Amino acid sequence: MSALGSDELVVETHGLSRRFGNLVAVRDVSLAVRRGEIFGVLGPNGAGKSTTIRMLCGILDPTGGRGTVVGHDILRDAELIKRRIGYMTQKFSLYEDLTVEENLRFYGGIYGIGRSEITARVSARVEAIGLGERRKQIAGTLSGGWKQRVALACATIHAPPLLFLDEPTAGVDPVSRREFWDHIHRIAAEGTTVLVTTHYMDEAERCHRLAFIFRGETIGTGTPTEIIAKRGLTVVELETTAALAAADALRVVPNVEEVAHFGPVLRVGFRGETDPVTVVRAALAKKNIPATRIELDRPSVEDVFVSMVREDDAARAEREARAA
Amino acid sequence: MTRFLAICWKEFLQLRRDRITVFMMAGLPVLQLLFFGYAINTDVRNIPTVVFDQDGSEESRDVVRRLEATGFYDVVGHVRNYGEISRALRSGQARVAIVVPASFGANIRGRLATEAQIVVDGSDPQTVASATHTAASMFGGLSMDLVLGRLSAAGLGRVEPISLRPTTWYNPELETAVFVVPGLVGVILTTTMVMLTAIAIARERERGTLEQLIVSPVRRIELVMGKIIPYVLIGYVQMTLILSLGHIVFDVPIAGSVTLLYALGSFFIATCLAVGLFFSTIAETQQQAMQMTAFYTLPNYMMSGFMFPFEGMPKPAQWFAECLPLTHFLRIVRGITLRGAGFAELFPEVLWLSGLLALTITLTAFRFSKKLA
Repeated sequence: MSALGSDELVVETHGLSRRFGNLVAVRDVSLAVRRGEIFGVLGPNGAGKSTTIRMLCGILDPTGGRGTVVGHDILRDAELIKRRIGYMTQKFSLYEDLTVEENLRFYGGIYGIGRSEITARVSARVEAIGLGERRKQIAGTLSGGWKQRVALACATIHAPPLLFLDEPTAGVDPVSRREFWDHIHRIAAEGTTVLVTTHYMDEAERCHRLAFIFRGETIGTGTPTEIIAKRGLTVVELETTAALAAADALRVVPNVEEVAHFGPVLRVGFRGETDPVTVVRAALAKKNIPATRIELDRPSVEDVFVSMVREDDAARAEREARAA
Repeated sequence: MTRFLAICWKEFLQLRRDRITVFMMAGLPVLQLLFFGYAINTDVRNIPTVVFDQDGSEESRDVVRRLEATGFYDVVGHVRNYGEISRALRSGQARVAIVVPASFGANIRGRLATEAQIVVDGSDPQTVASATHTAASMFGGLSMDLVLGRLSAAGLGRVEPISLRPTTWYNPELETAVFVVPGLVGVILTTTMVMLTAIAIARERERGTLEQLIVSPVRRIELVMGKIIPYVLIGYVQMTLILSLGHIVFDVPIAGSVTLLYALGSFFIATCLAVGLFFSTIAETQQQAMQMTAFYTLPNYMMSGFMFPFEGMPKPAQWFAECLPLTHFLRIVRGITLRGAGFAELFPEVLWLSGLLALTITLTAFRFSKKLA
């Protein structure tokens, strides 16, 4: 079923940019999304993720760069793109005064699905996303998690080959988030390419491939494993009763990028360090800080992301200092 | 077609669930109809009047009786000096004072020049005009009677005065309601039609559903028409409601062709809806859309000839008022219901409305874009 590994690009952009007056929302975004994959776009709030998606959907013209989506040019053929994509906006927009079923029928209708076909389509979506019991409920009375599921059903009612999801799980509880991701995987398995933005790093690891966007620029692309490996991070976890003192002692050690607290546990991120466990032991011993468990841990996408943003910040500060 | 119908149906469903709007659309016309029909009456009658009769003669009492008989003056009291007149007018107890000087009766009998005075509260110009005109024509008639009586008593034969016989067509009883109710159709359509569509897109923008619509393959024309057509039906319901209630409750006639009225009504309704849509392409929020509607309806009410006579306005104001859709619809609706006018007589108005409609739609299409910025 899945076309993973296909080289066919469903989304391809080069140096996409968009300014609003003096504000540059997107500076330089280059993406290559392959058919059938779940492609995650990661970035902090305000990084330019939503603006990028809007340009890809053809509802916002880029001020620079170029791109194609489902084989059509985003500048010239926006209306052709619109027929073949589904888009779930950030603050998804169901009609709150219509029932779940009426919403589905409406979205089917505006994608040109005729009367004869619509009932079957709606039933299929209701079945696939498990909305049966809520079918006649007024959308405004649904909880956040249910609203997102209905929105997903609406955005896929016309079986688009490409689906854009803009922070689909923002403000949704963890159980609903997991269920939602199950649905995303199911939709992808049926052959739909999914481009999803998020700032939840645990969700990033559920994507086939990722791109980091920071300050309107793509600063890294690849599978989660590739991205982690490429960054050359090593992570040590230790448990201590003197977490604050330990953190202070470790922050000054060369190659340490990040010391994060998790209760009594400290997570120490190194970059370019071959034997971090020994380094941590030595640093703590020097200050006489007791620690029980000191062991290597697998770096996460979140670790990589924080590291990249820190480096970018430092480089920027240095540039500005030199300019001044 | 599927896309257009989907939008129509959605608008209809939303409307059905929005009880307050439904109530407003049916209740507003009925309320305004009763309001204008019963409460607002531009015929000034029963003006509270005080009398300062310094004479107390047969003749002075006759004058007061004749004034009362016109139905315009309602004598609420007698006063003894100008100070009391001033108090009565200032307190609002009376709007008019009639002063008959001491020698009034004697002068008439002695064939001397004589005069009476009417003091009017000028804070309401319409009262002043009615009060003075009525008194003037009453005194004119009284003088004429005196003169003619004396001429014939002196044996100077028959002198026939010129008499003016006013004949009022189309509204012989000069009922305000007959004049106001047809105009009310236009006024109510202006308010509700413009407001409903102005809100319709602003609401989608405010709730974030507009982004979902413009990212779909819906064409601009499908979206715009899908939002206009359901409201055209509402416009016709309102029109029917006002005209039939006006006919039943206030005996407002429909002299001309109802079919023609409904056919030409479509031009006006469509123009109002297009104006509303144009506003909604500018307004960011529903509140702004409402404010624009208020801004638009005011000159329409004031300058179209609904409230004040069109011919009473200075020329430049009349030129401006020609650009208001309501001006032309008022001429159409009054023409058909009261005078039984046909298409040929109303053609210039139809031409004006078509022009305004084309202009608004062009502006709207120009403003409305399937892009966000």
